[in-house]
Amino acid sequence: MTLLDSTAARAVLVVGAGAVGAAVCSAGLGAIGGPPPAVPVPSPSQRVLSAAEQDAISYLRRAATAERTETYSGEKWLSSRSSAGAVTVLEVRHDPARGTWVEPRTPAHVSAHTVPGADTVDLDGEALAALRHHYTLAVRGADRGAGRAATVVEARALDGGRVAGRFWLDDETGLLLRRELYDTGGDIVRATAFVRLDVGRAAAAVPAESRVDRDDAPVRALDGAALAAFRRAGWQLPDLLPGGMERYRALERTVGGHPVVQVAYSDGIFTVSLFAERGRLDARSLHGFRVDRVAGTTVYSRDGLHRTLVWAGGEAVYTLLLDAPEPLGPRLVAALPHTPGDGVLARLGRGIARVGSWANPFD
Amino acid sequence: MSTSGHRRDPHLGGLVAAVVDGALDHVARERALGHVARCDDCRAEVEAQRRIKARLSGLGGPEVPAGLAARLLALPDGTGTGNPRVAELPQLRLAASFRPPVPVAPARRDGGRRDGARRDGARPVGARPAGRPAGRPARRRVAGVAGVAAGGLAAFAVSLATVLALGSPDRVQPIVPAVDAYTVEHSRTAVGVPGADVAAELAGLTASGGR
Repeated sequence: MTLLDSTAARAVLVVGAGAVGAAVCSAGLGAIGGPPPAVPVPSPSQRVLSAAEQDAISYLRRAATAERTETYSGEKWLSSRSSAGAVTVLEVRHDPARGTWVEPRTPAHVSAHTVPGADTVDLDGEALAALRHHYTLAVRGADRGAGRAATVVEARALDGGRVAGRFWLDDETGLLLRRELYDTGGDIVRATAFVRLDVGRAAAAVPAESRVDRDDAPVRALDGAALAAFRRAGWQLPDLLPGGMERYRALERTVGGHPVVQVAYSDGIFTVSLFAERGRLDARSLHGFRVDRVAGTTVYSRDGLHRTLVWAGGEAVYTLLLDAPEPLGPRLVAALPHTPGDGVLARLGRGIARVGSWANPFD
Repeated sequence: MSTSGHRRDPHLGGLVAAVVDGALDHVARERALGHVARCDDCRAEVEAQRRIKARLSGLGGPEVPAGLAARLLALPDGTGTGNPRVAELPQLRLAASFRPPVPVAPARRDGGRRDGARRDGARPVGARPAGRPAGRPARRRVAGVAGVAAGGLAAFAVSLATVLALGSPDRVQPIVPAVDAYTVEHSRTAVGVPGADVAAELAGLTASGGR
């Protein structure tokens, strides 16, 4: 073997050894940094609704439709039972064409907002399915709310029969006058009630502008196939979460020039929204949040009428909005990626992915 | 009187250098020298070239650093066969002015002993000891494998450092969640849930709750 051949053979061996090492490292990382195991949530059973339940659901469906047809103003009392506790009195003006304006009277530091109306005119089919999976519905009779005649609909848990929610629905308009949600111990965890309601008087009073920075980019609804594509790209967006939370809607929008995926979950009464976006959490810009340790990771929490949790998991930042009992929050964080991507393995994974993207002509 | 105009005996021209170097045969040399004796121009040219040659010959060669020959001889021949040509370097006189400060005896070619072992026990540099015919190549193989392994590790370390640098968190886009905007979107989405209260969802908005 000539000197040249020997040198070439050694160079090949050296580069090969490095490449083999990198490949082994990549494979190891792939195994280590893979998606967390799926949350073991039992598949909900399908059941046929009774006529009484169908009647109860018609009241709730009418309430959802009323938000798209009725103009009203009034004063609403809201309370949330949590470690932080919160009681708020809101002045509300609603115009289906212009949206909903809310101005908290208490606490004083909260400012007024106008938000556009919802783009749905009926109950969500998936949310109704979740309701069937976890609760039974019944009309409990007549009552009064905000001085108006109302019908009370009650939801009980399929497992044990405890009361999970009661709804007072205006007989005249169908609007939701009062709502009480209960935890597993029977305590009220959410309560809202109109203390004054004027129907048909607020059309000219709803300010058009909104303080909230809402991106005007089109929102894209994600079906199962689109969600699967996101998951193949490494997004952790489960269909089921602890507490019987089932995905009933998924949306993609652009915020600040990057995609944000919202997955909305519900058990039929309580709601949770998960917002996922790729990047590194810049927690310095989060104001009004306290720092907690949940499932061994740092979580930024804000309590009010509902709870907001923000944390970094893997290569993404997650924002969770919970209109649900407080103990559910840590369970949800633990079920989602919650190891920040600032460790050595995460850096290796990012670096290898970056190198791989160079070799991909379609990237 | 100059004889430069002698027409039957032309000037030497290019033969002057051959005359000076003594490169002509006997007959040609006699004829050339006879012409030089009669021709002032050619004689002057021959004398001029002889002076130049003498001056060049008097110049000394470049100084060789002391110990250079010994260091060259100490280099392994790289063949593992004890190539005696290395020991013979001084005899080859690769440079006319080379003056090795340390005299080195030429290797003996004794009876086809390829290991180059000498009767007095000494052996040329690079020669394999007679009693250990396979030790040195084995060591070389081990050294070669170790070299390849070390090179592989070095290549892997460089790759690792590069990948770590490329995966630095500083290269990842910083995210500030638009919490208030998300709260609005949550309220709009929750409208489809039985018994939802949009106003209650919006009450989570605060003046300082994020973007």
